[in-house]
Amino acid sequence: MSISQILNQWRADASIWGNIVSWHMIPARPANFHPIPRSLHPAIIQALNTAGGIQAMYSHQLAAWEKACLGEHLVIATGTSSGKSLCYNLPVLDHLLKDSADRALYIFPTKALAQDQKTILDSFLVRIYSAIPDDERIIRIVAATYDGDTSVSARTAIRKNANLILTNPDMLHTGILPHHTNWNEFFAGLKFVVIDEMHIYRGVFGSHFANALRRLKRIAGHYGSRLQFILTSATIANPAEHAARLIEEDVSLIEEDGSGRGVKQFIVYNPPIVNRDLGIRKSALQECVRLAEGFLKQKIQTLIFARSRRSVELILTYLRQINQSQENGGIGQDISAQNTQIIRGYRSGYLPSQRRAIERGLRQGSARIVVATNALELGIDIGGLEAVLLVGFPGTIASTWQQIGRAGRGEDPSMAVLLTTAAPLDQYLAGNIDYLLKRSPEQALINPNNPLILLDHLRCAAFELPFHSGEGFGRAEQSEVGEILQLLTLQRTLHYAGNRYYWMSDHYPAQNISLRSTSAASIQLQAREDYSLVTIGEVDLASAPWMVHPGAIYMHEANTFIIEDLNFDEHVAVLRQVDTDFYTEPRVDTEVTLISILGSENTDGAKKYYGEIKVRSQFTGYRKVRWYTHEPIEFIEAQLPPTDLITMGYWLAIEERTIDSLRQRGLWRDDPIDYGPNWAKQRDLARARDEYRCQVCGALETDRSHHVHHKTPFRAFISKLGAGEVGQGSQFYELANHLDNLVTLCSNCHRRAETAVRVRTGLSGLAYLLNNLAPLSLMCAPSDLGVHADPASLLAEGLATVVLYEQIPAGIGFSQHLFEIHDELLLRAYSLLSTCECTYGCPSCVGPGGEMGYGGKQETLALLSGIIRVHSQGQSPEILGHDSRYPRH
Amino acid sequence: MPSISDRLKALGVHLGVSNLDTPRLSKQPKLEEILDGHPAVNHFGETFIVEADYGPEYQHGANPLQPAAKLNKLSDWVGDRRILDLPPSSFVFLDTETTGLSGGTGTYAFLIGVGRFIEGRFHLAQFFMRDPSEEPAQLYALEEFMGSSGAIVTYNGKAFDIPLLNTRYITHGWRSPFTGQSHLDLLHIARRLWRDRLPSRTLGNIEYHILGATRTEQDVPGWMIPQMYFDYLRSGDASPLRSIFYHNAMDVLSLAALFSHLSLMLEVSIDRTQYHAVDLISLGKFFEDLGDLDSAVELYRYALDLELPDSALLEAVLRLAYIHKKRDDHEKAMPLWEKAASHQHVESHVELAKLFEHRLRDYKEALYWTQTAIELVRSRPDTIYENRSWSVSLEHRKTRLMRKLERVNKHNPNE
Repeated sequence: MSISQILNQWRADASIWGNIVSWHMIPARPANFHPIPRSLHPAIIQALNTAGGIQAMYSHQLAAWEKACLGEHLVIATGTSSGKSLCYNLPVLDHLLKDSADRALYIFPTKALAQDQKTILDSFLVRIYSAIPDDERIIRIVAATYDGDTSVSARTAIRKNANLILTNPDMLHTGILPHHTNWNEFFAGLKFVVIDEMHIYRGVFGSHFANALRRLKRIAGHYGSRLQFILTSATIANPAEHAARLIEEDVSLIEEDGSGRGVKQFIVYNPPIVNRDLGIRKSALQECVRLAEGFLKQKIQTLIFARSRRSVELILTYLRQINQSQENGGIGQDISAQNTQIIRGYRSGYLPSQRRAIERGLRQGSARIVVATNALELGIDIGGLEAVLLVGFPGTIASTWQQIGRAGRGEDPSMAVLLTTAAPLDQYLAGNIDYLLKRSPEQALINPNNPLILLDHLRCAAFELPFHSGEGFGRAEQSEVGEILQLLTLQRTLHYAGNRYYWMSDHYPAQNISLRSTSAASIQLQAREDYSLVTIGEVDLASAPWMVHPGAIYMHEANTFIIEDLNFDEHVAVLRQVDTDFYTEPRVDTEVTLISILGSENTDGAKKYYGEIKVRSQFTGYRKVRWYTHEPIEFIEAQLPPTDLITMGYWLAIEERTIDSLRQRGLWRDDPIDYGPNWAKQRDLARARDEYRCQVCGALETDRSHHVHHKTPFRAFISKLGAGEVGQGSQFYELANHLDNLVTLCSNCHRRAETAVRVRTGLSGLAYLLNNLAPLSLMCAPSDLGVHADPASLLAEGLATVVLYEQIPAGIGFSQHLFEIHDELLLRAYSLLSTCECTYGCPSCVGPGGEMGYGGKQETLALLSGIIRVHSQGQSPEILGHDSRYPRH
Repeated sequence: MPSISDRLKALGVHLGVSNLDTPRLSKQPKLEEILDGHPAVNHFGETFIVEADYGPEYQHGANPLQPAAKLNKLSDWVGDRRILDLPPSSFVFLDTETTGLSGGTGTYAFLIGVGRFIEGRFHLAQFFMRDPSEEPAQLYALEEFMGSSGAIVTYNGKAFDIPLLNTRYITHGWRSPFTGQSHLDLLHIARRLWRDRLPSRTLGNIEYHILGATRTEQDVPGWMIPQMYFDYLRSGDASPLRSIFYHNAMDVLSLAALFSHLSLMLEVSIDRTQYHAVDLISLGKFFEDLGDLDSAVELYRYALDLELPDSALLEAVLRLAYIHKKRDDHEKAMPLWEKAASHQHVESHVELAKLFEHRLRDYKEALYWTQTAIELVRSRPDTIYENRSWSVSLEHRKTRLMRKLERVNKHNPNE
């Protein structure tokens, strides 16, 4: 059965058709072929000819060849399966075949990817050498992987003999650069550095990696080599700029994709809403299984991408059960071996041999459905499939296209389905698929000059070679480099003599510097495993109280852990793996203070800023919340010492006149409350009823009277009024101040009780919304950003303010970027909110409403209307697309 | 924007103590006042050298420094015939003091001690960098001193000192003088010879237990040395350096003395009475490894007559028994197996059972040894890993022997 028949079936099935919120046909594109250039080494031309009779190459491959020959640094940003690896392999192998002293270094983001590419490279090399048999004059290319898996005995031989090394950033950082003298011949001959999947190097990882490249260039320079970089990237908004920031050189961009592709149907499937008030949808995972069942029956080869290993295993189990009961006519539960061949999983943790078998199964067709994590997203050669299902937005648009790109064999028709979850970003995309289809808004951002990261790598670089006075470090501010070197001298790590800074310490700095974190200090996460503790990761000290407080549920590689102990003296948190039906949400009181404003600008109805801030967080307890339904179970109070985070933030302050206008319409509830005319009387009655004792700790009133607390917040009654739930005629304050809703508390207990209750207001709704939408432009996770809403903020002269700040100390460039795309961000927020199907706010837009207040959605919408650019207000977000072309994927 | 140091401070970076640096005072003892050395100038700058001379009468513990014999066994053992014909003056004894143990390009050898024989006297030179900018001059001076030496002798130099020095030379764009040179790392031989007797095979332990040499209070433990050097760099106070130079000199002298001791022990048909019995067995094993079985047998036999701990005794007996077995000399092997069997050694029981079954065709006797082996295995704690495989093979052997016995009895019913 064909794709079109499946689609016809879906059309006829209302339970499917009704949930399809968008359907785009991505048109076919013929391949743009060019003859293989005669200047290539004849052995390579021969090898290409024998490999499936390649007589021509794609236009982007030719462009890469030509630019590489001119000695330019280049980045190739074309679609998945467009033959990007040939773009770097051709010039590199050509050079290595022509000069025996030349060396090349390939850097892949993971070990697995390097090993995969090694296999492909080896088979290409075999073809090159069989093309010219027994020719003694030809130079032998020895390609070898050099990583944590390389045996110690093999390492010396590889360093000596290999002229093409495949490695990863961590090995470069800890294993190669600090031992460059063992590699002196390699570095002396090093010509090419290939950086594959460059878009992975963003945020903290990218900032570290850029510094590792500064070190690489410094070492290569020491041995007299000048490097030529070739990078590849998924489609992001700023490939040339990002490549240039990584390698700190001018880079030529190649993005005209010359590969051909067939027609692709791209469908967005939004599982139906089952509870409008709570905004709860049917599970995307279950819906995916339902759709996949159809593909299985019709024998259409399908790849399913899930977001976690756990989801992969769940989908596998469901599908195998379904397939088995079909085979057995509904009898028997055992899964046959053949069944497991037909439906396979693919994720990290599989052995290379297992992965090879699955890849083979996919190419040969014996595997009909493969359920994978993003482990299968990056450059692994599996050929194309007829259909791809994505269970949930993979987090970035670049990833989405990489995964969708897996559909389509040659120029055959194919289809891709994105099943959206209830997460805000998913729901945003469900309503605004043009964002995905038009030019990607995603920027890969790095800040190699983040002071902590720069400090780390200057330590490593000083270990590798002494700095001389006045020496710079990449494009880092030279005066700052000098200042840090002096600081390290003061700290007695370096010794200054004869105009040079020498490493004089018995530490090996690279060992303790992880390329994936930035912090002056961190907490080690140690999981109990049998009778020992195994370190599974770390969190920075500042995040520890809210991420790994005792009792917290911590997710790691889709496994669930509970924190048993957090020890600040020994910098250790102890975890135990558990199966729970709940997760935890920390309660943190946040206070944001200003250090310096780096930019500010008036916008409509508001003012935007970015700058350096201090975020003081006081952890006060946590809430247990049930998975899936997000229903709160209980709140547990706890105390930990406050932590300070010095970082960058972007904030918007609402102008007083905007608030006035909201206030007049009853849509602003962040003012101090008037508790109504009967409040004084009711308060005294409650205290008397409770015999002047705190009803939590039992303390008796002394010279100051105890507080009286509203169990259901007063503000919630105001919003019920707005929502029409309380009749206009009745006095809502009488309901709110009813004795049953009041309880006497001492001031301490009251403070705790208040922190356990957060009222949804327009301002907090906006904060929730922005926090969840901002990652779309930053290629980061929502957890990389913190958010704080304050009706009277110190950051903006007491105005109501929402601040988004970076969880990375000293920041990575997110804030400045958010400042720049302020208008776009607010429009996106407006668009999501105005199309959300919920009534009072839900987890997909401004956060759940309900008991905590009903006005969140309405008020946020009103607030947003007051601060977005007037000329674009009310228009569809399509106007934001910079480019009306179809995506080049 | 505040300065980067202020920002780092605010971010929680500990900048350490900044104002406790003792200022360099002119009255602080200078290097020349502490040590009998001199600055030396070469094309690459200046470095500081301390030299000393030891005559043929000098004894390190109970040992002279000069090697006593040709190095047949040693050259066999390291598989480098080049050192066989070298005169004593061609050996360079080398030991370094470094700024750390982790290796990599940020570890420096701030003091390199080398000794060699010049006209019968042992000449020790210590090359010291007063600060790291003197490294090129230091390395150049070392290379000059080594001249056309034939081989280097170190203790753990294969894994540590030489790779580190190679790194130092390469960092300056030079070819290391150690490339391709013969290298005797005495650690490997010391491990082989004294593994069974000494708690650890550090040079200090060998020096004390084997060479009988002692150090004065001036010595300093190795782990303190990097920090002492860092302190000197900062304060300019040279007085603690005396200990480091002493430590390094003793290490080089011990190297030479150990080399001389080994040449005697391995190369000459020695007066065995002066060696520990356990060492004689280790020496036997060493000869066995080199294929010199006659010498090995002689040493085992000799050691067996001495007082030996049980484990060493059993090892000597078994080694000897296996050599005899290999040579097909069962007459000589049998009493040795029996001796080992009396030490509850399962395998010896099995060897005896095999001997009686296949060679002597005495099935009764073979069955006896099989049965005692079975009982022995049963009496041992279950936790012994090989028990299971022993039981299986022994039961198998027992069944086969019973069958053979039955057959024999049928043919000779009278017996």
